Amino acid sequence: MAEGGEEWCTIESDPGVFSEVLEEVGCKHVELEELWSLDEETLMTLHSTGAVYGLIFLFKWESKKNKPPASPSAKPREPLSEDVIPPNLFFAHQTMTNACATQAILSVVMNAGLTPEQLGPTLAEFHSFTMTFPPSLKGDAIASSDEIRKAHNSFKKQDAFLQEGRFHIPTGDEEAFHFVSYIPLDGTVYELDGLQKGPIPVGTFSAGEPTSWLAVAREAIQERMNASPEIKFNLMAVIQDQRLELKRKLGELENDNDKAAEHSEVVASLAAQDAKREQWKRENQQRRHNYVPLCMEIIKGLAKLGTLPELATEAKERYAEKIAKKKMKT
Amino acid sequence: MYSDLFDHLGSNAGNSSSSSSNSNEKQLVTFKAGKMDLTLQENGNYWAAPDTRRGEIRIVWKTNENTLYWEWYDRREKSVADADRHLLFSLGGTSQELGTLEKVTNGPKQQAGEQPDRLYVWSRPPAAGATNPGYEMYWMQDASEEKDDEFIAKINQYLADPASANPNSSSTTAASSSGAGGGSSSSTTRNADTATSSSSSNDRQQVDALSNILENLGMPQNNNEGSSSASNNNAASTSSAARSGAGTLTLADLQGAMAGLQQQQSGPPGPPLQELVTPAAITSLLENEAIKKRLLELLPEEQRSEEFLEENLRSPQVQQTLRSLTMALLPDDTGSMDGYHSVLANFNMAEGAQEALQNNSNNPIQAFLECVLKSVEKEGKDDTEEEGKKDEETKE
Repeated sequence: MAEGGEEWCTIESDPGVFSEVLEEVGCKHVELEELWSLDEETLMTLHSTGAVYGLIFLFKWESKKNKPPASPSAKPREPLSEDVIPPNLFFAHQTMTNACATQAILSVVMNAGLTPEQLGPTLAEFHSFTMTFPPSLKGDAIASSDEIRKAHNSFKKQDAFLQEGRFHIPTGDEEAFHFVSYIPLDGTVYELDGLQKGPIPVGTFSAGEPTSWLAVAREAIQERMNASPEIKFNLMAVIQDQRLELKRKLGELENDNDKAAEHSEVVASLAAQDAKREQWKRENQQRRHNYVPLCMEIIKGLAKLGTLPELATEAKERYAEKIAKKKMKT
Repeated sequence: MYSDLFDHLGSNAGNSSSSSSNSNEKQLVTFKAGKMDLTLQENGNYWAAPDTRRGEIRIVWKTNENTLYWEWYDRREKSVADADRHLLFSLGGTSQELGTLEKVTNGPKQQAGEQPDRLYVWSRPPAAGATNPGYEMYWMQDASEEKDDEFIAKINQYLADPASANPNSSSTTAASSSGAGGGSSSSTTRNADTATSSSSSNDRQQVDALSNILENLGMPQNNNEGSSSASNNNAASTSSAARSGAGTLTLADLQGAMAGLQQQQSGPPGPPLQELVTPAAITSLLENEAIKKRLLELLPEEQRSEEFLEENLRSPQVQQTLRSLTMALLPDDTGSMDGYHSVLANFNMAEGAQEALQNNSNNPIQAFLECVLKSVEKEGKDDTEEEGKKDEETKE
């Protein structure tokens, strides 16, 4: 077991971050993609990139004033009680606050029907080890897994002296998220929310049409959004690494001289995916970097240019205006 | 065993004879509380576990010694062990920092029925040569928590002003005034009433307390006899000045300080650094080769090329770091300027940090900017001097 009490750091909700957490824990088969819309076209495009394993709906709690949105009142749905949860469904209670993003993603990945090779050794072992656990114990198992925590905490901020408890004052604009996953399993779409006592079945779909579950999930998500329109949210899809499908297509087309146009299209898509990965990598390096020395040098640079006093005066005026405006509002 | 039972019944018969009848001592505060055992761990932290013995915290004035003690009384043994008796104040003796008793709000995670949740910590400067961690922890043992706050307020009043415990003192500010002593404002007002009167030991204590409060608030403590020049730069020297000449701190000083504090709280303590580093300011940095070169060295290791410089400078991470830096510079909840000093120390700009605070009416951000300007000026001088030296060397 893990040494108890190890902290989970907060991580940014971003497909590049989540995809890298999965990669760090050994699962290279899956990536995340942010969705800006839930219309038919978006879902079809998504499906054409390869398998879609699940959707993750993120609520952004702007402040403590906003309570998590209640389940849609139109159709009250009951979570399944422990004894009727399908044995092949992975559902874990949320036991760690900061781990909830990683937990939501794992809930999708564990239910995606991936082979041990696709899951990677760590998750494959975790999957078989925890399968018979009740939801609370599954949650504890995630919380106490060294490997998963290590992958998650690889995004820990490096500017130690700003984070060192006593000097770290919460800025108030730190955002809290809650994550709810939607997954298809054996003809039923489930809503997985670690704060509920069990998975919530939200509808059924015919197994013959693999994309029809997305329409069911969309309806459930739409209901949630309508129930609390003031809450900010994000939507992400947990999908197969898009490069895998592109590479497969490329292999097919390589022997077919009639499809040169299609071939170059796939080559371009693959290049775009590689560029996206490069960008993710760079952004993640930036997320892990300690920018305190750079910021200090920026301010010093402005002092050297002689513009610092002027900039400070202007900033102070702007700031005073902002405060005054805020006061007017309240 | 049976005395415990009596305690539960509220008879208190078990210990009534032992101390209250003792004419040599006067119990000012008593309440049921147990100790926490603190064990030093390998990682340097202390592990706290409840000592299950039933006890009582007592603030006791010994009339024969003219001395005030903090005692932990074992209700079963009906005695106070020497290790559990702490000297707070002795008439004619030197005064010392006594700290405060506070509720532990970020204590260990407690499981129902396993650990007490009404935990209090008495933090005080450790005595010379002591191996204790500088604090003692206690857990409340009275069934009702109703009176906890009242007890704590009373104790803190004696810790802030132990001289008021002397029953022979003429002080009218004895701890009997109910509920006071919790907030700093009530205790400062209390001190102000007597600060101008005379120089009895009582007043000296109170002036000290006032100095401490102002110091904690990060306020400059103006000595009204001193000129406005920077003779009283640091809080420690002012504090001792006040000590040596009790009464030099007047009500007017206090009012001035409080007014300054109010201004500090309502007025913007800015400007926030993220507001200062505008997109245009970043553009101006990118136009200067020498500055660009220094900035490049501070990018993430894999990105130290001009190609990525602008992306980095305009990244949300830089904005976020400027925000955190601003927060680190501002005083914390207790008014401590530790953050400000630590940031400057980290970047070798601690020289003149206190003076900069004074020059900028205690606005740590303005003071920080002043320090940056000074250090850049100095660097510039050093650079030209070095270049001059090099020139000379090449001439030779």
